[in-house]
Amino acid sequence: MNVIETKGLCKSFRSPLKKPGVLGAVRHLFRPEHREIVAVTEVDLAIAAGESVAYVGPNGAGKSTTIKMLTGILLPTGGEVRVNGLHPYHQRMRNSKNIGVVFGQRTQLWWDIPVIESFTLLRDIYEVPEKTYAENLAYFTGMLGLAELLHQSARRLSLGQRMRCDLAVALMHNPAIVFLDEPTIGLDVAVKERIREFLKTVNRERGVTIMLTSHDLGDIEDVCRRLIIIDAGRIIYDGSIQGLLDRYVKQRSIRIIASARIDQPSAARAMPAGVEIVHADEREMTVEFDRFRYTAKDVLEIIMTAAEVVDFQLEEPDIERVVKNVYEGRLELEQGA
Amino acid sequence: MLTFQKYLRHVLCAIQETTAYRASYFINIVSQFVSYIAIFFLWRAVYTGNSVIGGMDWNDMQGYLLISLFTSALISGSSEFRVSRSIWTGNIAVELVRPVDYQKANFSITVGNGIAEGVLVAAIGILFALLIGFAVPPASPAAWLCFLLAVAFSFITKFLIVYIFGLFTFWTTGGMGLSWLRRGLTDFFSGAIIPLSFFPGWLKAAADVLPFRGIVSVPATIFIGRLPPSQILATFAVEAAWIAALWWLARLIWHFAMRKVTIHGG
Ligand SMILES: Nc1ncnc2c1ncn2[C@@H]1O[C@H](COP(=O)(O)OP(=O)(O)OP(=O)(O)O)[C@@H](O)[C@H]1O
Ligand SMILES: [Mg+2]
Repeated sequence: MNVIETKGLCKSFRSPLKKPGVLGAVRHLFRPEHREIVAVTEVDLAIAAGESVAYVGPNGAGKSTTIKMLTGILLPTGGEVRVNGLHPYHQRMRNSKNIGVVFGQRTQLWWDIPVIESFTLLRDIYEVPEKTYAENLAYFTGMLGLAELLHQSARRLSLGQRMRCDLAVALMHNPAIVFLDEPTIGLDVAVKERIREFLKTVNRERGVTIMLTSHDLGDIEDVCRRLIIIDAGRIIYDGSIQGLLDRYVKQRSIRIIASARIDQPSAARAMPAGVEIVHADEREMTVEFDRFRYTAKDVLEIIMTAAEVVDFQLEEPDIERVVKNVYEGRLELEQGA
Repeated sequence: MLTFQKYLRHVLCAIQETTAYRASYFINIVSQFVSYIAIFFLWRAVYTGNSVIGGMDWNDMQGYLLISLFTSALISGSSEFRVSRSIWTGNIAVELVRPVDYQKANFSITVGNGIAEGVLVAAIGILFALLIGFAVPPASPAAWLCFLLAVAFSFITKFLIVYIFGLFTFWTTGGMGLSWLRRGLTDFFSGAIIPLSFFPGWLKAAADVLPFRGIVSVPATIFIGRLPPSQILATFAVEAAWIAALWWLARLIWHFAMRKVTIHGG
């Protein structure tokens, strides 16, 4: 069953168009001009219960706008949307009971009261039974290391401490889905690690559906199995992470170090079609090859006919590079499919 | 029952929040007294040489000013800007992903702030009244009851007006100008600066039909016994009607605001 479903989802904003300077501002006052900004267009999503989905794209691609529509705080300008079978905007109150939300740049905690009081407030808001609350509080306190934080006011917490508390808040009422908009923004490696571990655990143990946006591809590879890429408001890839690599990364590469000077011309002659020397030095060489035609072993054997290999290193295609290429428009995903 | 519990918890958290910074809590209250004292001496100067102005003697005026101070202290500072700040910063997003009614939650928080500040202001007010030898509280329990009811109406009316003006932040870019307009209208038509009985006839007639007078004039005149008992019931009926109207007006504005306008920040 799909817990998130959209068809042809669109959102455009009307933004005031002001000419620069005082004159422009005055003119705008009398004859306001607007321009249409298309933030999200024709987005189809179908996400099943228990999935973990990364929603990725360059700045301004429309990720936050989509999340806002799915959480019921923005009304779409077109298309259909259902979350747990409900319309998130028109049935906001009912929908919000089934979802947890983390906005990386904001907090659900009240600044000036102890964190535990904010937790109690949210317990009452979501009408969480006392027993569930006690169990969850113990569980999250253990997993996220909240014990020393609960009695401080949110104002005094560091960004990472606050984010750990916000994660607990988002999951306190056992939501079926949790939306996270850049949950690891500005955090150090250790805290990121802890948050990823936490998200994987709640996804696995509690079956919580996760949809997260992030610019940190580590988050994505670690937590999510499915990747959706949005660019300029349109979905340009939807599939597994491995699938993306299989489809769009043909090349692998091997870097070798030789014990003696490599005779470059004869090395070049030794390489068959689909294997190519991309970098060469006195005693060093990097070879790129089509991973659908050759195995690493094949290529290494070819290289050894031309050089005395003492050491080698295999470079796997990584998601980071692929996604970067996609952003920069070097990979034409639609054509590639 | 559970629904009530969630809004009650907002009230409790707001009381804690208001008192979290003891220093700023006291400074806020003291600063209100300072401006009050200035107004107090201004009026005393006006009353030297005049024993009765606009049907009020100096003793009435002192009681009036005291209640004026008390009712304006109930909704101040943080409550004034909560809605516009949260819209402007986009923080309203986190308030909207929870199963709460935004209007009721805001009301509950304002009640919490009001309790925390009101208790202290009332205490200092009583002390001040004793100090300057002024003490003409309502005579009968019935009058006290009417006064307390009028304070409740005052609070709800002012909340709704502040809240509605706050919602306009969805359409404008700065909350300040709106807030000044709101304050000007409220201060003038509520009788906070000049009692309504001083107004020329046509202006008084206007003030009498507007909701603002419920904020200061009604509780203050009940307190000093200048609102004829025969008019009290009718006055309350009008106030209740205004509260109902403003409550639904706020809902209507909210409905359009959410539809048309967007949440700031990504
Ligand atoms: N309230 C608004 N008014 C006008 N335009 C907006 C508004 N909110 C977003 N936009 C525009 O919509 C587009 C998508 O914005 P969105 O915040 O969804 O991007 P994003 O993918 O979350 O980017 P980022 O990675 O930078 O957070 C952008 O061009 C942005 O300028
Ligand atoms: Mg964003």
